[in-house]
Amino acid sequence: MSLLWNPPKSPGRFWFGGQALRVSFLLGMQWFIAVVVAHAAAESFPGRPVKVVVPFAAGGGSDTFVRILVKAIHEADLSPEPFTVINVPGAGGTIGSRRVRHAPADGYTLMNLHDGIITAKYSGTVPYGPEAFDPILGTGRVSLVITVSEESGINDLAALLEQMSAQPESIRFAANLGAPSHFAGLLLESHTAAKDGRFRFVTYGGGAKRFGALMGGHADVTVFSVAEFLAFRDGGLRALAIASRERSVRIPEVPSTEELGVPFRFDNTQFWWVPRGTAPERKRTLANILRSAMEHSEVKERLAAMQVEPVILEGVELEEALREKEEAIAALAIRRPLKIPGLEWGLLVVFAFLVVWQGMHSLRTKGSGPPREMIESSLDWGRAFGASTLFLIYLVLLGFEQVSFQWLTGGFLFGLGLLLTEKGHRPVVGLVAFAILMSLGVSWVFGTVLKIDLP
Amino acid sequence: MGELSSLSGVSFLFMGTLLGIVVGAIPGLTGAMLIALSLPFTFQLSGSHALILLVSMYVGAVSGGMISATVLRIPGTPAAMITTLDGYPMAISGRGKRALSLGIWASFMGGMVSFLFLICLAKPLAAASTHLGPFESFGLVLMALVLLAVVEGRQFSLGILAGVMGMLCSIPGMSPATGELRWTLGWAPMSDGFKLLPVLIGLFAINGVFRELFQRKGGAEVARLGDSGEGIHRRDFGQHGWNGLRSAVIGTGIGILPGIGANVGSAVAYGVAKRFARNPGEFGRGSEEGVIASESANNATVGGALIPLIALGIPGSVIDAILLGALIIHGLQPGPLLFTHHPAIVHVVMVTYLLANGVMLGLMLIGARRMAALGEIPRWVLLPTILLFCVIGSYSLGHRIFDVWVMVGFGVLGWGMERLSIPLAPFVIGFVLAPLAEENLSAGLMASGGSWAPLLTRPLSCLFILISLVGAGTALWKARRRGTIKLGDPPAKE
Repeated sequence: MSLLWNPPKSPGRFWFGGQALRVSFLLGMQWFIAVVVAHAAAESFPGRPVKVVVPFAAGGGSDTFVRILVKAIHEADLSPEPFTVINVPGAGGTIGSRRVRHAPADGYTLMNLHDGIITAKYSGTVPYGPEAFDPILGTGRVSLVITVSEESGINDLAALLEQMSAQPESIRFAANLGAPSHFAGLLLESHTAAKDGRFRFVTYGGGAKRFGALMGGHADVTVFSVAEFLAFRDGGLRALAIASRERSVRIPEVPSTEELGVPFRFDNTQFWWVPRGTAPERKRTLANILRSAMEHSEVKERLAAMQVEPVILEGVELEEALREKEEAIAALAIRRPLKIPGLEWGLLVVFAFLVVWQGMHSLRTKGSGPPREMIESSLDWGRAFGASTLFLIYLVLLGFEQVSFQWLTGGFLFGLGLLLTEKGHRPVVGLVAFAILMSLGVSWVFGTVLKIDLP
Repeated sequence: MGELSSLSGVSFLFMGTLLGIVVGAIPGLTGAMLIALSLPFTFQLSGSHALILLVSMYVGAVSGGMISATVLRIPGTPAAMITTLDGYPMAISGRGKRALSLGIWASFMGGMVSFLFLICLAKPLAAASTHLGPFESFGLVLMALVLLAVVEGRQFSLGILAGVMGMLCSIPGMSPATGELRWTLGWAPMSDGFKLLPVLIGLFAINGVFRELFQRKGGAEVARLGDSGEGIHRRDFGQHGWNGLRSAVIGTGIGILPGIGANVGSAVAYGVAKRFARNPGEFGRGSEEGVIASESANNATVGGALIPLIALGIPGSVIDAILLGALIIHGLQPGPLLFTHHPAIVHVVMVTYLLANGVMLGLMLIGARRMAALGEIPRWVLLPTILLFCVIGSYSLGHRIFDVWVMVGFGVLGWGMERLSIPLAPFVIGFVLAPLAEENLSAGLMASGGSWAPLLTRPLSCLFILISLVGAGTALWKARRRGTIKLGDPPAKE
């Protein structure tokens, strides 16, 4: 530390003396490195990394699916430039889809989003659906299995439909409300003889939660993906049918809805989207890369383990499939789910009451309030103002994404360091070295090793 | 099993634990982040090697959070939030090394106890957990809320106020029950509400860094660990053993319940420890029991959460959901039959959990002295670094600058709350538990067709609700009797 700790004799020397030169040299070097890193030739497509937006959290089903493909693209050298996975989770995939919708239509932003893109529109989360994007490929299909618990007393699909018709709302359907499982239930309702079936929908998040609900007898029926069903079936589950034309090879004993005479089909397909208006040849290039990845042997192996059918939908077939899915869902009437009455506003009222009560109380007991030993009198307002301003400027500039991350971060760290050290005792060389090392190190670890897309 | 004795297996064990501790100790980076981002790297490994790496990361991360919680008053991971309450006061009063040693041993103990539950009772416990329906879960969450409202309460009413504020902050975004949007002000980025990570980083880390930045004198409250010689003795095990054991059992139990994470586990154990403590007034001012309760419980939740994962294929936390994905990717079908079809992998997970706890203990004890250096790093290095990691951590959660602004906003809020003496911990607990309570109550009401009766007619939920009512009642009564609304003993005058 003593090597770096090199206090200038007077503040003036810092700005005009040799150290200023050293500082500008080091900062200049950092800028140079940043420029070199950012430089990329843009001759043929893809001429720079392609961002693959996954609108769900890292580690989830969609994310895993995409990462398996991206890994194959990298290993089999299917693209001259890497595909980088960017997770933008939240609000049922709509935070991510909204971002891709507004992204430049240059082929460098690609999104993977399953049927949730349709259900988000019809459940009212977002005003747009598949029409706001260009679909380029559908890869991998997961059929849904209609499942009851063994204790429900329902033995086959016909019995389920009959009971739903005879006693509406007597059967509890565990679903992730607003998501595909909910719509699967709604769609199944319309397949009773008199089209008058009604489930009683109960909110349960993912497949594992729905399994828990069936096991504990808190719900009677739900839908699982084939993989989920295989995982859970020995926990006392009975599959009534698989919602597709044919049986699944993995569970051949389960009949398909088609052969039971119920034209109810529901599956989840991983679709790939680009912003509307992307050039056709770029879409073709991306589709080719993805298709080759799907044909990679390791991908086939992994998808088989995940019970994903390796189907590929393209062109007319793809549009047909999307149209069919959207029509089926658009025809459904969504009933408003039951809500806890007055929850939000009730909380607000309680809060207001507590604030008022607390206010009155502290007026009444003025002087005997809690000690404020930590804060009073020790505030350095000048530095507080400087640091806050610096931090805010840093964040605003990061948000605009115009200045490179390394450059901006280096400057921010240096500036903050200046604020934190006393005039006349500034370890300027140390500060600069720290700023450069830290900003480059962090962007290397996060950007290159962990492949996080830094702002 | 052979994998664990092979050289590569052992190195994955050490690497995973060490990485977990380091990432856990850095504010802004969490274990979930580390494990999610490491998952693609494990594609090349065999299934058992992948699980050795990921499970030991899990153990390391939940333990490492205590370091920054104790030394800097910034929880390295959400699970360490409660540790800040007593670890930091201990550290600034010169007992930092002791706080760390107690925490490390407590973590180990929590791990061991939940390991015992894991190997002996995985199957029956997991099966029993599914019998808790939505009403029972709601009752349980309600009970936890009441218990925790007073968790840091020097002032009962301020604790309640903070809790309600936390609940309010959880409202914007998608309703956890119905998926409908609310309180988004028509602004699209708000449709996912506020995420736990930016909120927590804001309240503790940003607030903490700014408190340091704004202070006139350089580092007035930076913990001094190097010179605090006192470690721990054999008699401490006798003195604190019961508390550690109880907290471990609580942590295991809460870990088993799906969706209720380590932060709640440590908070409940802390609340209970405070109830049973000889002088509860010391809690929040550097109580050794507080550190032990928190750290023992948060490590125990890891083992607890592995129980439904292994026995039923039901993930108990975000990290467990990622582990579930790892099993599937490596062709190991999770579910009730994992025990029968892949007994080897089940044993690998269990033994890794055991060994990782041991490795964690060793590494942390060796490193305990080095951790002291954290407080000695010059502030111009430490504070900007923490700030940078917070920004990156919040950002990388969803690649959104919005989350960074949420973090800043809650940093300002946290700073303001502390100026007004409003405690932060009940805020976070309200924030975490309100959506759980809402989701479960909604599911119950939907299943019952809108009837509230099952809340009282189902025996378990009735029991939980009675306990909550009694708890709230006694707290109020105590407050009234004292003539003030202060809870907890007044500071000792002698």
